[in-house]
Amino acid sequence: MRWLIRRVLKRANGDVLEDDIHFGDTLGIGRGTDQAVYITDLRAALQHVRVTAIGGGRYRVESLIAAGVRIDGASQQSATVKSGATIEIGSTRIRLIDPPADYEAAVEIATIDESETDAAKPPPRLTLADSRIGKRRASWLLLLASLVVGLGLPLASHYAPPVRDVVEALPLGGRTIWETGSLASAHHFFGADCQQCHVDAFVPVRDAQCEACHARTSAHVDASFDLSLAGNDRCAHCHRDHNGADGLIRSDQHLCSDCHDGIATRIEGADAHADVTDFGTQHEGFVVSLPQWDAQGRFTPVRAALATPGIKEQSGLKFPHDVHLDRKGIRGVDGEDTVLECAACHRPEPGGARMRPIDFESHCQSCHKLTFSIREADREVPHASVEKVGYTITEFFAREALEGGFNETNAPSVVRVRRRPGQAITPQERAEALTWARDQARTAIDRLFEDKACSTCHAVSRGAAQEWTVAPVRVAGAWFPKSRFDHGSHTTMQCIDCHNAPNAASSEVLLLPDIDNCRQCHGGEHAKHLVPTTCIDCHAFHDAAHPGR
Amino acid sequence: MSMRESILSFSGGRYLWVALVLVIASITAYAWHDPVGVANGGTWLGYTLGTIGATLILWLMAFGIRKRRYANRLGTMLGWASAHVYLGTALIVVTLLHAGFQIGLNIHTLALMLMFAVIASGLFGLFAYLRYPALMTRNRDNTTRQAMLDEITELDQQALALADAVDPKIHAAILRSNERIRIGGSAWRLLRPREDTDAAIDQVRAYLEQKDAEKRTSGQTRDMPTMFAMVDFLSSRAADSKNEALRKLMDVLARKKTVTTRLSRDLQLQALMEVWLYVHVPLSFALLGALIAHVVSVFFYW
Repeated sequence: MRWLIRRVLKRANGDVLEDDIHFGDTLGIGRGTDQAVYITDLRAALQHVRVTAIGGGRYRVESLIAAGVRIDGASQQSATVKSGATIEIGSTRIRLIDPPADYEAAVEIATIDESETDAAKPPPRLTLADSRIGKRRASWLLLLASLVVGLGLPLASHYAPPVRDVVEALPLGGRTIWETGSLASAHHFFGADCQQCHVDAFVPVRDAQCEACHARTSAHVDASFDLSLAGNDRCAHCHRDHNGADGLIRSDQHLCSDCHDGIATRIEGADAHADVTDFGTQHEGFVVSLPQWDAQGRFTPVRAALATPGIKEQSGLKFPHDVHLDRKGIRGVDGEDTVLECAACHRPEPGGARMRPIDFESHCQSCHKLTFSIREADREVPHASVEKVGYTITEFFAREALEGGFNETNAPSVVRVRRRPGQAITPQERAEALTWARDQARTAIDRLFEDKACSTCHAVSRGAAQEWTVAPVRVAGAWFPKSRFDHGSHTTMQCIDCHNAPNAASSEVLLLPDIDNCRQCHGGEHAKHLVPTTCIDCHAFHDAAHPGR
Repeated sequence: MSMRESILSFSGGRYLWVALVLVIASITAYAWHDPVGVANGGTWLGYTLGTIGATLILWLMAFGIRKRRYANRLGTMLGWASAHVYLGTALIVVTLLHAGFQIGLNIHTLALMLMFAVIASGLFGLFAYLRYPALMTRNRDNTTRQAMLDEITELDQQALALADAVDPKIHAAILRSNERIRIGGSAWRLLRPREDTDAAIDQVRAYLEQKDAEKRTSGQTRDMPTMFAMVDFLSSRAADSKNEALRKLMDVLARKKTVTTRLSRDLQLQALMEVWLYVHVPLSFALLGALIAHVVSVFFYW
C-alpha cells in the first residue's frame, strides 16, 4: 500500500509542501526513528499511533500507549474515522486526507501554532463559577417550583373542580398543604372540602357557613340585642379550627372576659353583674332566682342578689331545718327519737349533679300523717289538691252514714241503726244521712287544714266562700338557672360546708352560699393555690333558655 | 482591621444591638401577649411578627441586589453585610415566635424550614469568610495560582524529557499522567480534589519492580524487597546516566505532586468559600416562593 506523507512547512513567504512516500499496511507515528511519521516532540511516545487505511476513504487510528491520542480534538484510545479527520500529538497535527491518484492513503503533517494551541485548549475550570452548576437557573427553578406547589396547584384545586381530583391525588398536591393544623375531629368528615367553610377567597369564614349545620345552636343573648356592640361576635372568633383535635372548644376565661370586662360602662343598661373577668377577683356575688307567684298563681321567680339585706327564701313552705336536724333526734311516729341526716331527705338525682325533688309521700309522710278520723286512724287523705282532699273525706263520711251502725249519740237514727247489706233505705233517710255526713266531713276538713296537718307546713287560708286555699310551694328547683353546679363533683365536702341548715330555725333562711364560700377553694384561671376555675366551668355561652338580657 | 472584625463588629456591632433589641422585644411581647387559644400566626402579635419577618426576608434578599450596585451610596457594603448577618440570624427567633412553635406538614412549615436552611447555609458562609482566607494565604505560601499552574506545565515538560532518558514505558506513563491530570473541573472535583501524579509514580515503581523481577529470574540478586531494590538501583549504580535521569524524574514527580496538591487545596478552599452561596441563593428563592404561597394561602382561606 502506498501512503503519501505530505509535510506542510511554514515559511515566511508561504507554506511549502514536502511529499514523501511510505510503503506498508500501516502508518506508524511516534518519536522513534523507525516510525513512518517521525515527530521530535517529547510529548510523543516512541511508537505512539498506528493508522490503518481500511478502504473507502476510512482509517483506523489506534493509540499504542495508555495515554491515548487526540483524534478530532478528543483524547481517545482508538477510532475509525473518515478522511479529513485530524490526529494531534504535542504540537504536531496529522490530517488524514483523500489520497491523490496513485496512492491508497495520504496524510498531511503540519505544526500547530502556539497561539492556536492556547485558544483550542479549553480553559481549566478552577472555580465553581467555571463549573456547570449555577445559582441563577437553580434559583428560578426553585422559585417556580415552590410557587407551583405552594400556590398554583392549590389555587387550581380551588377554582377548577374538574382538575381538583387529579391535583389532590398528587403527593404534596392541592390544598392540604395549606392546612395550618388538623381540623377538630367533628369536622373531619367534610374536611377535605375546604369550600364548605371557606366559600370566598380572601373573606374570613362567615357565620352562615357554621349555621348551615349548627342551625339549632342557641344564641348567647336575645336576638333583639346586637352582640357585636360587646365585641367580636363571629363564631370563628371563639371557635378557631385547624388547631388540632380539641382546639375548637375553648375553656379559657379570656373567652368571656374580652367582652365582659367593663361591659357595664361600654354598653348602656348592661347589668353590673355581667362585668366579670375572673372568678377569683372580678365576679359579683351570686344572684338567685327566688320563687314567686303572680296573682294568677303562675310561677314567676324573681332575681335577687344573695347579698341583699334581709333576703328570705320564699318557697311557701314552713320547715324548720334546725328542729329536724336536732342532734338529740326528733320523735318519730313510733315514739322513738330518730336523728335525721341531710341525706334522709336530700338524695342526688341520677348523674349526681342536682338533688331530687322533696316528695311528701317518701320524705314527710312517715311522721306527718294525714289522718282525719279517730275510728280509722290509719286512713289518710292524699297529699293532693284541696278538692281531692275534700272528696276523700266527704266520701268517707258518706259511706259511714249510709252503711249505718255509727255509734254516736248525736247522729241521726238512720246513721246509728246497723243495716243488713242490701237493705233499702228511704230517700228521706238517705238525705238525712248525707246531711250528717257533710257536716262531719266539713268539720274534719276544717280541722285537717286549720289545726291538724296542712297548716303545719303550708300557708292555708279561707276564701270568701269559706273554701280552703293552700299557697303554692316550690321546695327545691333551679336557684341559679344561669349556671351549673354539680353536687357530684363536690362529694369530698360536707353538706354543712355550704348549707348551714342545722341552725336554720325557719324556712325563710336562705341556705344558699354566696361566692365567698366558693372562693375558699376556687380561684380564677390563673389562681395560685386554688382550683383554677374559668367561666365555662359554671356558665354556658350558648344558653338559649336563659339569654343574657 | 481584619475581615472578621469588619463584618461582625461593624460600627461597634451596631447591627448586633439592633438584632438583639428585635429578638428581646419579640420574646417579651410573646411572653406578655395573651392569645385566644394557643399562640399562632393569626393573633395580633402573630401578624406583627409575621410582617416583620416577611419584610426582613425581602430586605435580606435585596442584599443580593445591593451588592451588585457599586455606585449605590446607601450605606457601605460592609454595613449591609453586617446587618445581613445579624438580622438574618434574628429571623430564627422572630419567625418561631410568629409560628407559636407550631409545625406541620404544610407550606407554612416548609417556608420556615427553607428559611432555616438558608440561615444555616449563610452561617456556614460567614464561617467560610472568617476562616478560609487565612488558610488560603497560608497554603499559597507567597506564590500565586498562576505561578503554580505555570510550574506544573514546566514540571510536565521536565518529566517527559527525563522519562525519555529512562525508558519508553516510563515515558508513556508520564505522557498518560500528563494527559490525565485534572486541575479543577466539576464542582465535586473542586471540593474533593484527587491527584493523578501518583499514577506516574506507580508506573515508575512498577518499572522498577519489573527490573527487579528480571534480575531475580536471571539469578543476579537475592530475593530482595522492592524498596531495597530501588535504593540499590538508585545508589549503587549512580554513575549510570539512566539511573541519574530516573532519580531526577522521581524528584520532578515529587515536586509536581507537592505543587498539584497545593493548587488543588487552593482551589478547594476557594470552592468551599463559594459553595454555600450555591445553596444559599437558590434556597432563598425557594423560600421567597414558599413565603408568597404562605402569605397568600392564609388570607385566601382566611
